[in-house]
Amino acid sequence: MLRVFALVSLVMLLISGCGGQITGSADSQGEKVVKVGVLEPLTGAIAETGNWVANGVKLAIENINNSGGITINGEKYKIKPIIYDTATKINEAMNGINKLVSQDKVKFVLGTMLTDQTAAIMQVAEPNKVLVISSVSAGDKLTKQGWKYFFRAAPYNNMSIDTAIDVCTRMNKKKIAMLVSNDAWGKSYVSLFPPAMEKAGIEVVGIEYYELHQADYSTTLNKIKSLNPELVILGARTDNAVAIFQQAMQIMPDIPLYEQGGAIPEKVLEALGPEKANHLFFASRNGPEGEEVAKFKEQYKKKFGEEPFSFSYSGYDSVYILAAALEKAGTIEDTDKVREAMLSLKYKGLIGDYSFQPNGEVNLRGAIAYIEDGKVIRQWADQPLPEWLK
Amino acid sequence: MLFIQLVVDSLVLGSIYALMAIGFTMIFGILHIINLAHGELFVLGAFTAFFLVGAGVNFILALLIAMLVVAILGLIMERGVYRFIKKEAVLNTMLASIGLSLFLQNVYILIFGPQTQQIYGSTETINLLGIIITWQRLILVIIAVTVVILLNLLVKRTWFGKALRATALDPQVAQLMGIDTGRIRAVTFALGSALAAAAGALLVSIIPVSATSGFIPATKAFIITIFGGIGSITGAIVGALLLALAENLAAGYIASSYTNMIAYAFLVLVLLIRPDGIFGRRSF
Repeated sequence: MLRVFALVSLVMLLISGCGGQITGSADSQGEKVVKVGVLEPLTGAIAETGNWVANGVKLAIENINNSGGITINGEKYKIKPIIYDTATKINEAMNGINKLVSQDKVKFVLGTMLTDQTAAIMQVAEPNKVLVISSVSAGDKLTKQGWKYFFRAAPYNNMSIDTAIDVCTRMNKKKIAMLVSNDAWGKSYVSLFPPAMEKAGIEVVGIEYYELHQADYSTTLNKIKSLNPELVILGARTDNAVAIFQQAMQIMPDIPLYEQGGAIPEKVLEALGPEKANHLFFASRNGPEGEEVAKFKEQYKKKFGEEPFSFSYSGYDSVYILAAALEKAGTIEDTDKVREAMLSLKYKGLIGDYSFQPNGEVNLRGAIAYIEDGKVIRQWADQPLPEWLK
Repeated sequence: MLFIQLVVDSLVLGSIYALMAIGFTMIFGILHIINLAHGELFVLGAFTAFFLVGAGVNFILALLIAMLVVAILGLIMERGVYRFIKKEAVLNTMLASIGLSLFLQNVYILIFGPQTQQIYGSTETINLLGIIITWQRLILVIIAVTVVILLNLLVKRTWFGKALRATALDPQVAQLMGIDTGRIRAVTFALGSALAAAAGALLVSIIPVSATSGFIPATKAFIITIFGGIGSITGAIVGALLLALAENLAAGYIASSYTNMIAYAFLVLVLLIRPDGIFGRRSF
């Protein structure tokens, strides 16, 4: 009895302890497939957002496969996703990319959403000429490393600086503080914003970091409060942002938080309620949502049973961008040719109109969002800001 | 000003740490089990409370039910796993508990998903001379203190408490006195688990908790237990408050990334200076 129990426990331990490999639909009919690796945090501190991205990817692959797949030189190829969970840990991301490159022999990887992890996996991808497209990573350093095989198909940190300065100037906020995550994304804001702010005559009175797994922000927020800023520039994914906004409302309700694009305003609205959330504004990853987005939302809701957000649009877009590049290049083996195709690609996605620069950086139109009367309103950043924003 | 605010916040955090640590130290002291899956009991308590409150159940009732549910899980853990492990070799219990912890974490991910949950209660705050504390957090401290007082009464004033202390002191003599030590151990484990559940339920009412949130509270409970003395409830309470204070002061005056480091520094300090713990009675 004891032995049986021990054996069963051991087996279960082994199963649960193994890294989270969730392969996509297996293809065993001799159909032509192109394997695409997908690396995202599906568990851990940033699991919620990670799953949003991965779900967008899954839906896109399903749609493409259902309509026959992609066409390379007259032949039809289905996309076979190989999905690994990075568990919001860099070593897991490294395990994932190593498996994808050496074991699964993929040439194309979508992910990760976290700048740290993306930078880490490029250490393996670049020398192996594996093309990586991240549809979320926003840290500025990713396009400054001279990588040839990295493409960022996402709104990134530099894009929100001008709007931030504009907002602060209009609201006459001369002293600001920054609250960012203690990772590459957060640190990217710290290297970009203060110099630009100081030049615009805005003083940065303090910079505080929070840990991704941190759930209690009261100490951090109290510390910021003691520095007396007039506004706080916040960089936080929804996973952290909701709690930060909530606790900030309790601790420093008179100091506005201006989140730079990691959080989904709808979720903050849900947590705070329309009254407390009224006139909160955010940098938004996507602009006003049109028909294409509405169609996507229907599909997504049917498949996953919940409302999708910009992170899912990004995941979705990344698959179609890759597919378009593959078809344009006419090969699924030669990543140099695919890279060339990416550089001359123009793709109209759910997030916006994508095109790429030689260093892998994207050209996208910036956007902002604000909450008014219980609704989230999005507009392009270059359009006039709302009247009440002063 | 900041200092006083930090101290007040430490009371809140410390009460929750105390509940975790008391449960852990009881199990360690009386059953000689290092239960690193203590964090998973905490998480189950949090999720149970979360879902009950979501279904409209009053918070206090949800807390009690969560404690009951997790007590049952604790019983299953003790009877199903730990009973078969020779506890004289304490390391074995630790290894088994790591396995249990991994297993439970992944079961939680399967059942509850990997995302965080939190009970969004009222966010009414009280402002006392510039110190802000939400009603939620204040109530949390009151509940935690109540639980500790009740526990104290249980241990000091009831027959069961006497049997517990006897088993802790010397299990063999306790058996000779007619105490069913097997039953006492099982109930103690259940009780310790219920305390972890209480900590979880209280915590999820103020901050988000996810399936993998259990590791850090369990580690802190372990550290506080060593710090306060294995088996010492007073030690657990004092250690918990001191740790919470040190963490908050470090986070407040240096940076948030130092909180875990402080916890481990505590442990190292204690092992160097007073290995039995502050209130330690037994050494291993």
